[in-house]
Amino acid sequence: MSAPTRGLEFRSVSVHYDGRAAVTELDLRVAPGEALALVGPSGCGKTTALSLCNAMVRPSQGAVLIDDEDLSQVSDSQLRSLRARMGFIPQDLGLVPNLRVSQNVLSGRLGKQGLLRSVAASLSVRNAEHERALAILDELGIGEKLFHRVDSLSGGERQRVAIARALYQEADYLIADEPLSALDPARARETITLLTEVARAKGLTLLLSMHDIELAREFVPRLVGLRAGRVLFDGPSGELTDEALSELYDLEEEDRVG
Amino acid sequence: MSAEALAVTPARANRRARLILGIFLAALVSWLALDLSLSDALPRQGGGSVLSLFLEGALSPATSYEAAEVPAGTPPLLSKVLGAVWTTLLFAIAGMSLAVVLGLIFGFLGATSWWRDEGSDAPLGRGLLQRLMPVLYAVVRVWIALMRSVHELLWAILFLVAFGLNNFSAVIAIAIPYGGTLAKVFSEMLDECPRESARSLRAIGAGPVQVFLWGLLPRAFADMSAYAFYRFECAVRSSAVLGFFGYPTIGYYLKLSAENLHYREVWTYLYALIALVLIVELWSSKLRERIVIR
Amino acid sequence: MSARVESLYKSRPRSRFVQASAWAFGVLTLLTWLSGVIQPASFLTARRLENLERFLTVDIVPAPLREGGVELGGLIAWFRGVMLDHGLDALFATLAISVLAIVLAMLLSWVFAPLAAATLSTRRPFDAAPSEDLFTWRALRLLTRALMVLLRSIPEYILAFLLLAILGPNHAWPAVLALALHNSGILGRLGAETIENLDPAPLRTLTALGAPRRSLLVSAVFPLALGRYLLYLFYRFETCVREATVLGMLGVVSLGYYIQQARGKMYYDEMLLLILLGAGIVIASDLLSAVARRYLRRAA
Repeated sequence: MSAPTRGLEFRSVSVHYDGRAAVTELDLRVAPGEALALVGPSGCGKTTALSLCNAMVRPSQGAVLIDDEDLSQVSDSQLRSLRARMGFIPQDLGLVPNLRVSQNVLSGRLGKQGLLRSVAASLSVRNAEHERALAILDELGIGEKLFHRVDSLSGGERQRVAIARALYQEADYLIADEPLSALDPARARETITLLTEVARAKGLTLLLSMHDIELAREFVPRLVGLRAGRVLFDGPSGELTDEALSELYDLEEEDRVG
Repeated sequence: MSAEALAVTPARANRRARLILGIFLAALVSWLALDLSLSDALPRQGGGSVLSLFLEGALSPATSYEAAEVPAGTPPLLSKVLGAVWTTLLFAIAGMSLAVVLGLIFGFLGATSWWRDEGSDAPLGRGLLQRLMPVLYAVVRVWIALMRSVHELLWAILFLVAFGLNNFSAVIAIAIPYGGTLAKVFSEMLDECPRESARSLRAIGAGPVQVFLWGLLPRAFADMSAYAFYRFECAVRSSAVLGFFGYPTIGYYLKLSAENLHYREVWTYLYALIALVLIVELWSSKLRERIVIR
Repeated sequence: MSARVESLYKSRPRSRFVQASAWAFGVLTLLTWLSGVIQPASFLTARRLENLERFLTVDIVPAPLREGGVELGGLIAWFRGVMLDHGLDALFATLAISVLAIVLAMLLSWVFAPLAAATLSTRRPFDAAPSEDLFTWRALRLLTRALMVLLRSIPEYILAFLLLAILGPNHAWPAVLALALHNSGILGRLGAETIENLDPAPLRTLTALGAPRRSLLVSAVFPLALGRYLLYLFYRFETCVREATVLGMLGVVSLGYYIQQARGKMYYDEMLLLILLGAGIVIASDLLSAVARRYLRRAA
C-alpha cells in the first residue's frame, strides 16, 4: 500500500462517446502546484481530458482521482465540494453576458456557499464579498469595471473577468480550456503570462490546453502531447524534440520549414 | 428560427400551396356548416340606425352623459371614465403580478435545462431526485396546459359560481391562464437559452437552483420580460372585458351605455381603452428596445 | 475601500428609463394591492368557503352520481346526452367560426401588410438609401398602421358585442367578424414586420431591373414572406379557437353559449363539462397548429 498521493491522477482512463473513443488509456499524474499544458491538434481529446478533472465527463473505463479520492466513488455532495476546489475557465469563458462583472465574479463561490448565502451575498453591494471581488479585479487591472455588464466589455477584459472568477473561488486548481484560441498573438502572450503568473503567485495547480506549441514551450514547464486520445509524450518542455512535435501534428518535413 | 430553416425550396413551396389550399377548403366547409349568408353580414333591419349612431359616436365621443336626466350625486362622465380606466389597470396589474409568480414557479418546474443536460454529467447527481424529475416534469406540463387552455372568462365564470362576485376572484381568473401561458413560454425560453454559463457554474460545484438563478435565468431574462410586457397588454384587454361579468372595469360601463343606445358614451370608453392599450404598448416597446441586447 | 465599491456602484452604467420603469412597476403593483379594491385577506370568508364546498361536492358532480351511488351506465348516458344535445354541435361551430375568422383575417392582413411595411410601401421599394418620401406614401402607411392599431387594441369580445348590436343575433357573423377584424390587425403587423425583415439584396436587384411594383409583390415578396407568415398564422389560430369558445356567451352559437345557458339553469355539472370541452378543443388546436408548423419547416 502506497502512501496517499496528493494531487490529480488519471488511471488508464478511456472515454467513449457513442462508441467513438475521445480519450484512450490516459495515465497522468499532476502534483500540487505544478503547471502543465495539454497540447495537440484539435479533436485530440484535450477538452475531454480537462472535463474529466471535475467529473463533467465521466470515464468509460479507468478512474480519475483527486488526492486519492476516486471521483466516480464520491457522493453528490462530496463531488460538489471537490468541484468547488477546481477553478474552471471553459473555452467560451462561461460568463453570463447580461449580468454585471460583480455578479459573475461572485458566482465563483457558488460551489462553496449554500443557496441562501449566495443569494444574500449578491443582494447587497455593501459586504466583504464585493470588497474581495474588487481587490481581485484590481490585481488584474479592471477594478473600474466592477459594475459594468459583461457584454459591454472587450474580449481581453472578459478573459480577465473569467480569471477573476476562478481566483475569487479560491480553488486549488486552475483549469483553462484553450484560453488563447481566439486571441491575436500579442494578447495571447499577455494572457498566458497572466495565467502562469497568477497560478504561481497563488500556488495553484495549473492545467491548460492549447495548440500554440511555441507559447506552451516558452511559458509552461511541463507538456503533455495528445494525439487521437493517446499520450504521445509527457515531459519537461525543454526536452520536447522536433521529432516528437512533427509526430504530434503529423506534419511533413517540408511543411514545417519557415 | 434561422433564415435557412424557412428558405423557399420547391418542396416547401409545394407544401405551403397545399396547406393554403387546405385552409381555404376548411373555410368553405365552415361557411357551409355555419349556414351563413352574405346579406346577414350587413346591418339588419333597424340595425342601420344603430350603425349610424355607432359611427356618429366614433366622430363625436361623449364628454358628458347622454341621458336627459342623471340621478343626483352621479360623478361627471369623464371622472367615471377615468375611474374605469384605473380599475381596469388595477385588475390587470394585480392579475399579472400573480401570473408572473405562477409563471416563474411553473416555468422553472416545466423547464428541463437545469436538470437534464445532454453530453454532460447529471445535474442533480445520482440520487432519487434525478430519476423522479421526468415524472414531475410530465405532471407540471399537463398542469400548465390545463391552466392556460381554459379561457380567463371561463375561469371568471367558474369563480363567480364558486365564490360569488368578488374582485379577487376576477384577479385570479386572469392570473391562472396568464400564469399558464407565461409558464409555457418561460420554460421554452429557459430551455432554448445558451447552456455554457450553466455548465461552467456546474463545473465549479454550483447546485441546481444556483445554476438556474445565475446561469439560466439571467440569459433568458431579456426575452422573458419582453414577453411578460406583451402579456401585460393582453391582460389590460382581458381586464376590460371582465367588466361584462359585473366587475367595475371599462367593459361594465361600456356595456351599460351600449344597452341604453348611448353610443357616444360607448366610444368615450372605447377611446379610453385604446389609449390605455396604446400607452402600455408604447411603454413596453420602449422597454424592450433597451432590455433586449442582441 | 468600502467607499470605492459604493462609488463604483453609484456610477455604474445603467438605463434611467429601465430603472424608472422598474420603480414604476413596483410602485403600481404595491398601490394595486394596497388600494383596497382587491382584498385577498378577507376573500375566504366562512360563507364563501361554504359556497365553495357546495360547489365542489355537489354542484359540479355529474347529476347521475349525485344520489350517492356510483353508476357508470348513468354517467355515460348523461355524458352522451350533453354531447348529443349540443356538445358536439357547439364544438363544431366553435371550430368553424375560428377557421372562417382566421381565413378572413389572413385575407385582410394580405392587404394591410404590404401597405404598412416601410420597405415596400414607399416610392422606391427596397431602396438602399431611403429617399425623401412623398406625402401620399407616408400618409398611406400611417393610416394603415393606425387602423391596425385600432383593430387590435379593441378586444374581440367587445368587438363582437358591438357587432351583435349592429348585425343582429341568430347567426355567427358577429363572432366571425370580430375575430377576423382583431386578428387582421395583429397578422397585418406581423406580416409587415416579416416583409421589413426580408433580405433586401435580391429584391433590390429586381427593382433595378425595372420590375413593376405589382409583379414584385406577387412573385417575390409574397412567396418569400409566406413561410414565416404562415407560422404566425397558426399561432394566431390557436388563440382564435380560445376566443371563439367564449364569444358564444354573447349569444352566438358556440360553446360559450351553452356554457352560459347551463350556468343560467344552474346545471353546473354540465357547465363544467362544457368548459372542459373548451379546454380540450384549445389543446387539440394547439397540437394541430404545432403539427402544421412542423410540416412547414421540414426541409425535404
